[in-house]
Amino acid sequence: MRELLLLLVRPLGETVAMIAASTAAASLIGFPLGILLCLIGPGGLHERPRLRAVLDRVVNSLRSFPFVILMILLFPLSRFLIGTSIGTAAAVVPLSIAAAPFVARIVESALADVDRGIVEAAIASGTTPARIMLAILVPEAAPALVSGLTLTVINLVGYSAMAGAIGGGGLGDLAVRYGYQRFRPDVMIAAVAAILVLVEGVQLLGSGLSRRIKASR
Amino acid sequence: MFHAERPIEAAHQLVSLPSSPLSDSPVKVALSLRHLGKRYAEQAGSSGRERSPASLETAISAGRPALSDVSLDIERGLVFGIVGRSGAGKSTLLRIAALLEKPDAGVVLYGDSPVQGLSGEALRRARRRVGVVFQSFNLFSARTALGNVAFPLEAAGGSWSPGRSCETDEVCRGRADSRAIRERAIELLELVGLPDKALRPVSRLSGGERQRVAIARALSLEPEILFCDEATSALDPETTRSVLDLIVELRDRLGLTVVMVTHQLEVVRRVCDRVAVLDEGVLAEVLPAGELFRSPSSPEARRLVSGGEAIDA
Repeated sequence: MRELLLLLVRPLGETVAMIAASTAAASLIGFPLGILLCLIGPGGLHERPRLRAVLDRVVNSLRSFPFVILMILLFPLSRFLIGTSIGTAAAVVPLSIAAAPFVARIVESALADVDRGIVEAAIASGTTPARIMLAILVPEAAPALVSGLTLTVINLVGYSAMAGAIGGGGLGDLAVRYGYQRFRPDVMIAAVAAILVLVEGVQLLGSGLSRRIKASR
Repeated sequence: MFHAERPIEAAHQLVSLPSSPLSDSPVKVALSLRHLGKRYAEQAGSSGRERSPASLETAISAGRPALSDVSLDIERGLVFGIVGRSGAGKSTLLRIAALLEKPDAGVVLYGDSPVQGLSGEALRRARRRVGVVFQSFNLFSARTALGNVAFPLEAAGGSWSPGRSCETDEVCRGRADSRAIRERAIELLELVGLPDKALRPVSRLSGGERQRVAIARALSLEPEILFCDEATSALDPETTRSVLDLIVELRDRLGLTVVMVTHQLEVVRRVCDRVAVLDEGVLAEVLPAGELFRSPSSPEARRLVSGGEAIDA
């Protein structure tokens, strides 16, 4: 049992680091992109149909790309940015790029769901689109944004296991190498249990935060 | 076409002309609408900005004219009502006048400056000359009452400073600082009778209180015209009366012109000086509010008054 727990420590740390870094990077790309998509979208504050069509295409193709293939295609980029295509740090690159369009869509739909009347009241006050977006829409959408970010993190847990399996380290790597290749079902179960706990914890944290924001209004 | 240019007869005593700096100006008309025409969008969702809250109504009547050749002059200092059946185009008319929707034809003037067809900063500047109050309040739920009232002030930044509305004034180019904004927002909340609710989240306010916050927000940039789109339709009768009395009081104190769309004839009876009757997008009649009940001349006005009383009684 002790040996099992010791075995878990390092991969768990790697998984958490991988997820934290890729969530941050994906948000850094996804948030502005989602805001832009909402601004220029149909019914948005600053409609730009042609630019929107192009960005839509890009986001959709990235999202429909199978992650395993994306990861392999991005090996050169990982090597360029991180210096290697193997390991936890290198796995952050494909993870971020896979999650960024997802974040963008979540941000876009959270913002688009803000009550039209509220947007109209802000428009009627003679305010610039940028200001309405940042001072009104983003705070109004905060609970939905938190839920969406929670969903992103949970998806990344799943993806990170996949990344782990092809050299990214972490819990997925542990499950495959020990659990599968060395016939250690106990390690397999422990790794999967750790992943479950991680997901459950993130979900609890996210729902709690979202509820707190709603309750404060 | 009917114009509201004639001096007001019956409602005259009600109009205590306000001591606003505006009333010295020779221009007596606050809002002119000339030959407005508008068709409902062919399909819902073609452009969200054009989509009115009554989108179901819009979808049903797609393609049919919402307004045809409506001309109106609304004198400064009046509480002007716009009535009609649902689908008569009254909300569309108000939304065009408030620059929330574009007409297909016609001209809108605030005072003597044409404001339709503007875009960018010019459009935003024109929007800051008027305030809008909505049926569903449309308050910013992430902000407190104070935060709601402060938003237009924060946003106007350089073009607002304490105590004056600055369209061209060179002196008020400087950014209004946050303390001045706060003070002004509290002043506005006092004006609508809510000084002690400033820091409440708006969800903890009653319907009447929410509409008062919305009124304070609409008045924060010292508009010339206050548009009310069914502002009291979501309120109970007693709250409706107190909100209406507040609007009249503010008109008197601030020298506002108030344009209100309503389906409640009680509202017209209580506060309006003049009233326009819309029938299927056409202006049927413009008359002093008292006369609407005593001697309506158009068939639509007669229908409205007799039918309306049956329901309201």
